[in-house]
Amino acid sequence: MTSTSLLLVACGGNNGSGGNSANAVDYYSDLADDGPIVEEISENMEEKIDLSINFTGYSDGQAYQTAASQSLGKEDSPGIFKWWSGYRLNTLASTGEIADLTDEWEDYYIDAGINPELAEAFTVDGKIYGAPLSVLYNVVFYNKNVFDEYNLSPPETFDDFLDIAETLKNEGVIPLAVKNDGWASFVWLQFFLGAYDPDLYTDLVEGNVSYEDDQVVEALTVWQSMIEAGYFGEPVKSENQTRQFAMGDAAMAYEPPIFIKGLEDDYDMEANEDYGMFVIPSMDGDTEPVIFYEASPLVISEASSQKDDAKKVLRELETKDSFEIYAKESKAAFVEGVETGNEISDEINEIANSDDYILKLRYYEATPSNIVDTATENLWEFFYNPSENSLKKALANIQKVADEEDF
Amino acid sequence: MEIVKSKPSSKLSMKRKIEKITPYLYLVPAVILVVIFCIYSDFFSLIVSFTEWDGLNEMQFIGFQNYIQMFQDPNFLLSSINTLIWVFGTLLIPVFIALLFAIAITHVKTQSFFKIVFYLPNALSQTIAGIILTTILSTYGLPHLLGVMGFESLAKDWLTVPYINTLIMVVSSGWQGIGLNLILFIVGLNQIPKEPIEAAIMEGAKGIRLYTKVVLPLLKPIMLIVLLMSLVNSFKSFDTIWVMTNGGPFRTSETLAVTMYKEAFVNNQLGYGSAIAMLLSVTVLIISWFLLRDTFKGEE
Amino acid sequence: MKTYTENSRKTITILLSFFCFLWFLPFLYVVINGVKTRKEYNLGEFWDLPKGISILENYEYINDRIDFMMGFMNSLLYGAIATTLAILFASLAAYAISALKIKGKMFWFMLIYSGTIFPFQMYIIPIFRMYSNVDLYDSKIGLLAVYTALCIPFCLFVLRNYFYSIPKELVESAKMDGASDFKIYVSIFMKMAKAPIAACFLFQFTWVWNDLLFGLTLSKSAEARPIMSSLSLLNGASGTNDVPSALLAAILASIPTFFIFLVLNKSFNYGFPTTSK
Repeated sequence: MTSTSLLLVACGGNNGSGGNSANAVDYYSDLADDGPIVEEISENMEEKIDLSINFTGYSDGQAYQTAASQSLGKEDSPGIFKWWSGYRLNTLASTGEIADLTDEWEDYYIDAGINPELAEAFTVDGKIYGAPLSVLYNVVFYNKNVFDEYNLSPPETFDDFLDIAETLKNEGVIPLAVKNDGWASFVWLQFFLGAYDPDLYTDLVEGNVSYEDDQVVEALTVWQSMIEAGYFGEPVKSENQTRQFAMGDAAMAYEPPIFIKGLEDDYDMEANEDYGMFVIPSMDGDTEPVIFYEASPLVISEASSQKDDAKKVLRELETKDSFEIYAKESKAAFVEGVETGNEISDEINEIANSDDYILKLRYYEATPSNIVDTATENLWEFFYNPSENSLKKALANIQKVADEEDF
Repeated sequence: MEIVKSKPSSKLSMKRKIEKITPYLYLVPAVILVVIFCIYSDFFSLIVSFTEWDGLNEMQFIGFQNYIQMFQDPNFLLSSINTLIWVFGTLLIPVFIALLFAIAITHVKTQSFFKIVFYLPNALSQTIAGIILTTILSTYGLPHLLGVMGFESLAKDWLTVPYINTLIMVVSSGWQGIGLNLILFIVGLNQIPKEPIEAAIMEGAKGIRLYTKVVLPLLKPIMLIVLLMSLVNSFKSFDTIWVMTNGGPFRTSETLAVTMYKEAFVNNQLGYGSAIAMLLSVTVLIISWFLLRDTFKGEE
Repeated sequence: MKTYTENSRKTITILLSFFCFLWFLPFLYVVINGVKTRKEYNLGEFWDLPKGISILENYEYINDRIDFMMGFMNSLLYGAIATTLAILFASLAAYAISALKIKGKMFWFMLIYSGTIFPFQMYIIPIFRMYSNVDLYDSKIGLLAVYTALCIPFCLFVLRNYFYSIPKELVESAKMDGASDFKIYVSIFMKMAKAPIAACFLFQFTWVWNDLLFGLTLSKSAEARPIMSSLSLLNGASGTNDVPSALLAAILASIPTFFIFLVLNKSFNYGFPTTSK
């Protein structure tokens, strides 16, 4: 009888990955699309420091998390892997399985032109654990053809914004497209809190202010009245949101710059010709407008045998040259002076690095994940049935979870 | 196996022992593989279900906390109801309608043509079928066509309408999953011996009565396979939902398997996810046991 | 059956044809849109007829991003070997449970059968941990072993259900002729079970072929990656999507499962459990 266990032992070590050769560093990521970019960077790097990157992309977030989290702490774990910032990084850092990169920042990254303020998103208990892979600034994109057709221009004040929405709605165009991803409701929470009072947002995500606070309710009542006025589209799939925007069925979308890639690749739209962008003005008109950003770090596995090589590789990744390769492909940049080859995206990078805007870490990473999970579901429920009561109910539910959380 | 406990004995009883043991050897490969992969994993989940664990940090033992939380969680209640809808929906379309189709197909001449068409969606994976149907049912698919035709009120993304979307998905998964059962039923119907049916017809049995009284009882062995297979899979319904609505909007279309997955892998509450998995498995195990019990009577 | 006249047969055919049409509609959508170019699909409506056949361009796009053939061959290997092994092991166990003298038949049955009950999603972490300890992560053998193990319970269920309907007298008379247990297994049980074995093969091959969960978690390189996990790499970054290529890939990837159905379809006509107990 064939004993399978024998079979298993006999053919066990036969796995095809060549990642353990002396000069290749493994790099795991859930952004499978990054493969060609990393390869290009790796080729340039090999000439310089005789190290290469062995990229493994996962197409499924959950499969990726399992692979990454379950291989940590082992000697054969990948040297570099992509993670999430904020509270998701805190959980990871608390295991002690990822390397402290504070010195690397001071000795290398900052000199290479990386904005030191970004380190904040990757700092846990005073130590920096991540090197920025991407920073995406969320702005409002608008379809220029639609705006031109109805003689509209980007708003100077929040009231302008409301007027634009009203005009579009009356013309039968969806003013703001909404995508229905399970997590995507929080972007509107930050959108309105940011426009209402950036400090209030910070107090809220840090747990200093209750979700049931009058000001929070007031800020979100603006959202409620806008939903009730019909300024938001029905939530649709992400691809369909792009389509609504591209076809002119919807006029505006609140998105990070990678939104551009879909517009160009799938719909042949041209920057400044077919679409533009603006940052939502603050409601009081005095405060500087807020740009929310999401930041993805690369981290290094402490136990990995590749740890030292991985640090060297990261130093090469955290340079303007590498980011330029990345920016050209992803159509998003965050380092000053790095160009994407797209005017709108470059403009976003430029204004985000200027002093005229306040930068805030987006809600998803800025507050504990338990609260985020509850908030996204409850805000969706509110969005589908907007009313004074449903808003109060949603906020009360979120606060219930927030009460039990350590910030 | 109890082989080791043998006393020192004569050659004859050794031979008898070997004779007694050999039948068990037939079980060995299957049991080993199932124990290594399935039972081990079940056991792992059982332990995790008594802990709080995010998959990264150390597990914290918390006793029955996860199970208590489950019964206080409104999402769990809704998921349970949705799961039951899926179970009934599966009994209705991929089982009952499949049986009707099968009976109808045995009455026409172009059997193989119909078989092939109804089986087609089954060749697709649930995920692929889900993706295809999602594009058809979402904003720029059928609803858009209906909108252009003047039915403005129907021109919305159907899969984002709470509660309705569960029904749509049940039907979608019926579209995809009917083929296998249909084939099994047709095989069963074609195999039924002619004599008892002819005898029944002689006695005047007709139409529906003929089927409920004579044909269906003869179909019982196949029925058992179809029924159990469909039940087990419907309790575990996941892929279609994950692709088509992700359980949303606001968790209204989640089944227990989706809730389990979301808690375990999206919210990183592996303990809670495992507790839901345990409950789901025990339920299915009990149902299976009841359905299978009869076939083991007199076997021992 | 004779109670049905020509007329009612016609009505049934018409009704069935209507449902057939409904069942086929989504495929019509796939075929029409799978041959469009990306921009043609995005900028037009889904009911517009394609302006040309862009299969080659779309296939090129697929091959630029994933190793379609490698995934295809891997899955063929997994499907064929894992299913065959599972049927072999399951039939041995089913034979023991239905025809041999063993104690606790229902216990053994339920033990193996229980492997199909637990939601497979929860197997990911334990199996991943086990595999990274014994170096089976991202290997063909590793995936083969998982697929084999997970196919066994269902095959056991179907085969036992068939085996216990085989008349006991057949076994007794073979024993009288001096046939060993194993000979009876080969020459009576397996020989008679062609139809259920074909059914098991069809179902389990289709399952292995269509599996996404284990392929995604237990493989990372193109060498071990099965077809469905490869296809999932076609999903672009947020908001971008080449729908026609994805549709084409979906159709190409579904050919084997459909082909196996066509091949095995005939063997279903030989003996299946017909006696009820």
